[in-house]
Amino acid sequence: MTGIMHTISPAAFFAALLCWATAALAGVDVTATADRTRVALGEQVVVTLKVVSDKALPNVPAPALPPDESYTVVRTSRNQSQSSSVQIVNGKMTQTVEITYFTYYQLAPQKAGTFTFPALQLVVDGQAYATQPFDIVVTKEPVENPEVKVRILLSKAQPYAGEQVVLTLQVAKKAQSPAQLTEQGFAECIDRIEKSFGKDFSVSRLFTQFPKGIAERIDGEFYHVFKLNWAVFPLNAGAVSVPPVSMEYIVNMRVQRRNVDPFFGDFFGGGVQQVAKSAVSNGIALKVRQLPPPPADFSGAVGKFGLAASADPRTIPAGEAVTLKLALSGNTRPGSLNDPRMPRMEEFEVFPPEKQTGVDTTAGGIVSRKTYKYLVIPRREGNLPIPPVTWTYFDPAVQAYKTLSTDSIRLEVTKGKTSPKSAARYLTQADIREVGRDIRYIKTTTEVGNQPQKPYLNPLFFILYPLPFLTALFSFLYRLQATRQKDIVVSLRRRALGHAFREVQQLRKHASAMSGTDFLSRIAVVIEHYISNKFAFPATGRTLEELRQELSTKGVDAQVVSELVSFVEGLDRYRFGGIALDDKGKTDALTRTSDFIAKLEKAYRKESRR
Amino acid sequence: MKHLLTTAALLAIVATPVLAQNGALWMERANAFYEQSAFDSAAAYYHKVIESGVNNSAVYFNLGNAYYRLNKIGMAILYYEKARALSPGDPDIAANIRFANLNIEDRVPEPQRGFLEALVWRLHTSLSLGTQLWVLVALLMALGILFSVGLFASRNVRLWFVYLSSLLVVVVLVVGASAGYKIYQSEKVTYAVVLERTVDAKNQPNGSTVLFTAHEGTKFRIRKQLDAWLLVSLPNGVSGWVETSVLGRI
Repeated sequence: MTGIMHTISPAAFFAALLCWATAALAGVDVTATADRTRVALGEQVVVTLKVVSDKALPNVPAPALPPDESYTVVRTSRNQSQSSSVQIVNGKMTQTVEITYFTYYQLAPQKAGTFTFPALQLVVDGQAYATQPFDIVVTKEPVENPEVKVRILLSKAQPYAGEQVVLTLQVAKKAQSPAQLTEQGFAECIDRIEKSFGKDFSVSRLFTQFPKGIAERIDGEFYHVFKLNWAVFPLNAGAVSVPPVSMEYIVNMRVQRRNVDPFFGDFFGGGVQQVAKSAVSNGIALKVRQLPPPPADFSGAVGKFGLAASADPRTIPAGEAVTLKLALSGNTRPGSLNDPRMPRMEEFEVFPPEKQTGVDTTAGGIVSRKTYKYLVIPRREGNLPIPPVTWTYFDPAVQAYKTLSTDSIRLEVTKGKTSPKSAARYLTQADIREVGRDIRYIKTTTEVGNQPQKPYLNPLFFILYPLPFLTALFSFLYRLQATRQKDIVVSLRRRALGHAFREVQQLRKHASAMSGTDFLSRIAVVIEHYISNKFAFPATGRTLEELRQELSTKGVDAQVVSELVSFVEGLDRYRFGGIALDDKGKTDALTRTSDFIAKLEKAYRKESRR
Repeated sequence: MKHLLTTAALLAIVATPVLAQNGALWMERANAFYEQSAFDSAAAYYHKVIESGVNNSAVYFNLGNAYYRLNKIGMAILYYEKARALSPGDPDIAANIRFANLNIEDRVPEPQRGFLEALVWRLHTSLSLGTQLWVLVALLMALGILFSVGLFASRNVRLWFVYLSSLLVVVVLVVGASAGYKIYQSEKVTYAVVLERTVDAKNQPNGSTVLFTAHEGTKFRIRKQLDAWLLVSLPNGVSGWVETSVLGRI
């Protein structure tokens, strides 16, 4: 007490005393309690703030919790209840009423350690109140939950890669506990378990619906135990740890209803407040062992297996079908049951099998079955054996590879109705067709020329491959040039008449200023240009006889050609005969030139129309 | 330097017929030994033909036969495969490969092909790459000539040239794609045959874990080489590391 007096200042001490005294006088009690003060990381804790009064209180506040890294507030909820009691002493009846206001804080601790739930301060009916702070211990290890226990169990801690292990989720709920397990809680827990195994495992459920509880006595107390099983197949060797998983459940907390009846209130009344809680399982550690070096014919299966063979009928004519049935089964996934390899059966035609796969799922694990039905046709008569079929697997129980072998089956094959020729139609498999033959004989040639390993590196190809492209390119360019040339000739031909008339007009303008010889030379040039352009041949430098022949071949009328030749001869006579030419003579010459050009044009058009 | 080159060129001109002559002589002897069932000697002479620089499918085929008779199935398949690489359409080679494969322990199933795929594959493998390249040259020449002539033909005739050229272009593309694929395979894809009785494929070079065991004559595809180890794979996708010395490259 002395110590406390030393650590608390007198002012604070008296304030607290005053606060308590005032509260006591007012008949209000404020407390904060936790449903448990020791939880595992991943579980939740519920703190209840209780305000008890002997009268109805308006506006009872729900103080907010200060932010803290140690926990998060999952949910806050409120409720209230009322109770009344009647007392009769010496014939005098007294009735007391108690109203309780609840505020629930559902907290999820975030790290292991001890955190302090703070003192809550609130003002009720004008008076200030404060609760006592308290510690909550959060552990990494699961804390024994008296209401609900969750366990994960494995049938084998050190399985081989590919071996089937049964995983059991065991949820035990204490009998007469207010805890209630829900389908949603189971579903979420199942999902967490399956996800926690990751890609290194193949996990198959061994249940189809939620389990029913079985009463069991655990540690001297009765529990309802629910069990769910999985078949787990580790896919890779190595150490694997599966973390604890949590399971949510709800607890029904009874609260009293506001009831004015002092006698029957407790019998008929009472509401139920549902509070969510969780329990955390143990974690598990697995050491998956690697298989020893396998033999060449190892099928890949790990577990316990059986193989049986049967044939029906045993006596049959050659060429008719027998059904050879192989049945393979064992405690593994259907995908791990690889097909047995059929031995070489040269006396039989063997057709691809008809396969059937089945899976038996029990709480003890998965058993897969595969049935193969081969259609086998004996080729000849006699006592023919179907050789044994073998299949190798790894047996974890003896930690060694084992080879299953069927018995040899003897068939009594009688003479068939079908001839050997018709039986040959069954010969469909390539490797059987070749049986009984030999390799083909050597090539007796001695002419052994060199065949290049890489013929595409032959230089001749590098020369020959561009040639077609060059040929095509050259042809294209030539064609382009020819088209262009043709276009020039057409253009000149089209404009020949206009060009000639323009030149005549020019001459007409400058005729008087020109000498007779020059004038006549220019007229000759005009005519030559016209002929060259119109008929697409060079007229300049040709004799009159050549000109006549060329125009005749172009189809120009002979009369017009003769007149043209006479006209040009006349011009030449004037040019080279030294005859003077006056302006009138020049005008006449120009007029006649125009006429001749017009005549030639007409002759050309007539010819081209033809 | 000039003299040296001239001498080398002359030697090459003179030596080629000499080598060919030697090759023919050794081939004749090898065939004679084979006919007398002296397969050891026959094989030795076939090897001499190959060592003389002759690369010929007939020699490889005959050597494969000699090894088959000597019960060396791995070597036989190796030389049959070498022969097939040079003459893929040869029915004798194909038949002996099929037959020899019946005698190996590992049965690796061949890929199943539909009718159309099988037909395309048969066309693709029917010609050797060299022949195919010459066919391609001829087709391109024909296409070039058709194009050139078509340019100068009249409009009606040109239409026929267009049809014919289109058909040729399709044929050229098909033959060209097939040849291209063969060239790619020749450059990038290498195969090898197991020559020992059994070979253990490991998980890594010098590894201790045996992934699978293959037997003599099994054909692998070579994926990678690391020193004296080869990463090989089977058609079903199984792969592992194998020592170079136990395999014969095709």
